[in-house]
Amino acid sequence: MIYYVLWGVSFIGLILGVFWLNLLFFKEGKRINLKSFPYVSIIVAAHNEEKNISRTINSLLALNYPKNKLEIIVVNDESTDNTINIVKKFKQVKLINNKHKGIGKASAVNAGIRIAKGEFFGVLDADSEVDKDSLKTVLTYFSNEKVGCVITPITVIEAKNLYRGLQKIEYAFTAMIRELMSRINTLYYSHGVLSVLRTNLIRKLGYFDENNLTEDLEIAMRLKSKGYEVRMASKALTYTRVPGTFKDLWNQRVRWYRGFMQNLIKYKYVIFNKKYSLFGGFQIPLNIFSLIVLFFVFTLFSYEIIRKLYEWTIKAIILKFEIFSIGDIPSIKHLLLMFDVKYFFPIIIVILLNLYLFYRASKILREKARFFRLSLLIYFIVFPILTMFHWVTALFQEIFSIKKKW
Amino acid sequence: MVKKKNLTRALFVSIIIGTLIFSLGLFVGYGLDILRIKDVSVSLNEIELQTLDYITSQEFIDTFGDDKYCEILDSRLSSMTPQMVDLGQRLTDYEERNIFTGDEYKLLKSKYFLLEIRAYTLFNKLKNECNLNETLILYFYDQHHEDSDRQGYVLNALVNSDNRVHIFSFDRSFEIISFLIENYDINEAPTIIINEETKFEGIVFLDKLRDSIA
Repeated sequence: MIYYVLWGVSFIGLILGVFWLNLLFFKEGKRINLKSFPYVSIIVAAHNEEKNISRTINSLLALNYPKNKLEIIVVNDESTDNTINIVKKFKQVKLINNKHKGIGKASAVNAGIRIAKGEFFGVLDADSEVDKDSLKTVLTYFSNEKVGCVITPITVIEAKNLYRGLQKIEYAFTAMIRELMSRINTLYYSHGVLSVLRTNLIRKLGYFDENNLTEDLEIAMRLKSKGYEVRMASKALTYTRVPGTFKDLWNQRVRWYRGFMQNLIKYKYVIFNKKYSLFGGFQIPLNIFSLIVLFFVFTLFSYEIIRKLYEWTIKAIILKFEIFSIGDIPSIKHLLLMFDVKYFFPIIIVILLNLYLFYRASKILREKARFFRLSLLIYFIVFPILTMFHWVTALFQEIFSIKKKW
Repeated sequence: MVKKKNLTRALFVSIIIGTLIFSLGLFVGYGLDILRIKDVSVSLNEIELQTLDYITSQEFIDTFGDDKYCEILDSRLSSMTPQMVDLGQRLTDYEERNIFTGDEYKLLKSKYFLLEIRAYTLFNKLKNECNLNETLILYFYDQHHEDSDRQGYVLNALVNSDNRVHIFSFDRSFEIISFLIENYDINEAPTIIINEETKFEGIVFLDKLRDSIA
């Protein structure tokens, strides 16, 4: 049974994989180079960021952009460490204190938007940095009036342990997928590592949702639901630091996935709605379908693993651990003949397609694609399982409306 | 931005390429099935040749006489059984994964059972004639049956720990061994017959088996 399910999943995965790969060969839409530089405000929400805030501000000050057209606003979100004093040392930076409290950083960003003078504003987390040409590149996408938000590909820096290493690979894949989604105008994400938005548009749409767990996803979905485009500026590089412990990663992901569920319910009317073209008719249903498949495959595999463990336990008990062995090592010929190609061939091709996407993603991020490393193997095997646990926990918490302090 | 027409074309091309790759997987899979059949057939032929070799040797020694009659034949027959066990294991592995089924497979497995019966008969004859201290076990099992699988573990462990034990396993569902089923009055799986004397119905554990062959 499990093999037939796997077979069906791999067939669909194969078609989708080839489809995404196909998009790589489509040319990007034309962008117009900037003739004049619009005024831009960059909003940095900071909560106890004394370790990182200097680097973040320095990267903004190093931007290859006219200084008289750039406004840097740091919104102090009730920091109790030395963040304020550090920011005060930068004379070019406007420092304000956030007085409204929400459940995320949205209230801090909104405080920044209220005073922003820029035609456009960028959101940058206080643990992130930007490449000096990133802002210029991002702004070229706004030559299309329908573009409401432009995001950037994120490179994980300081990926010194396994958790961070896995996230670095994940972020590379995500950058690639988002780039492809951007090409077919189905991208509906924004993030806090330099997403640039039209200031007046966001004011008109009612600012960021302060009661949303993932306000950046929400604003992107809101823009899409109002007919605006979200684009990815694949050549605008940005850098971030990611959670380095199991607990931090767990909390972050559960929050993201709960936020995704909440926003999916909020914007459920776009699903299969002709008005929303590929976004409602293809992308959102595809993401829901992928989640269902992930859950289904995970359940089947869990059942299979538990069944095998039970069998091994019984075997050990029956044989009283006396002459319990894993058996002889099979020959290569035997292994080859034991391998059921018709089930695994499509899966192997899907993995190869993924590796190619990883190679392309590394090119986008201007990094060397390293295929022979343990973290890549762990990423393919362990990360989907971990992700499934995150989703199940998020679903459980949503169903039982568990309130958490993020 | 990608045009809708190009997108439809991309989807269409993807479905075609995806289906082609998928078909290629099926094609390679069937190619491997042929290799599996060949692999099993070669092993069966080898066992058949060994049996013929044994019978010929026995007739020769019977006719022209040799002091080491029992020694020679025992070693020949003993060397045949591991190959038989190995082939049986391979057939079971293929079967467990449902990657090798169909008429051809049934035919090969039937042939395997017949060769096992022949080897069992020859071994029994030699054992009686030469008073050998070998234990011959007939094991009847059902496919995808929990207790049969577990009995398999026990018997494997027994063979691994004692090289004087020889197992001849039979799938109860095969028509070709119906005369064995009738002869030994096999009503359930697993059933074990030890040295034509002791019969165990239902799962038997290692200690009890060792006691009965001691």
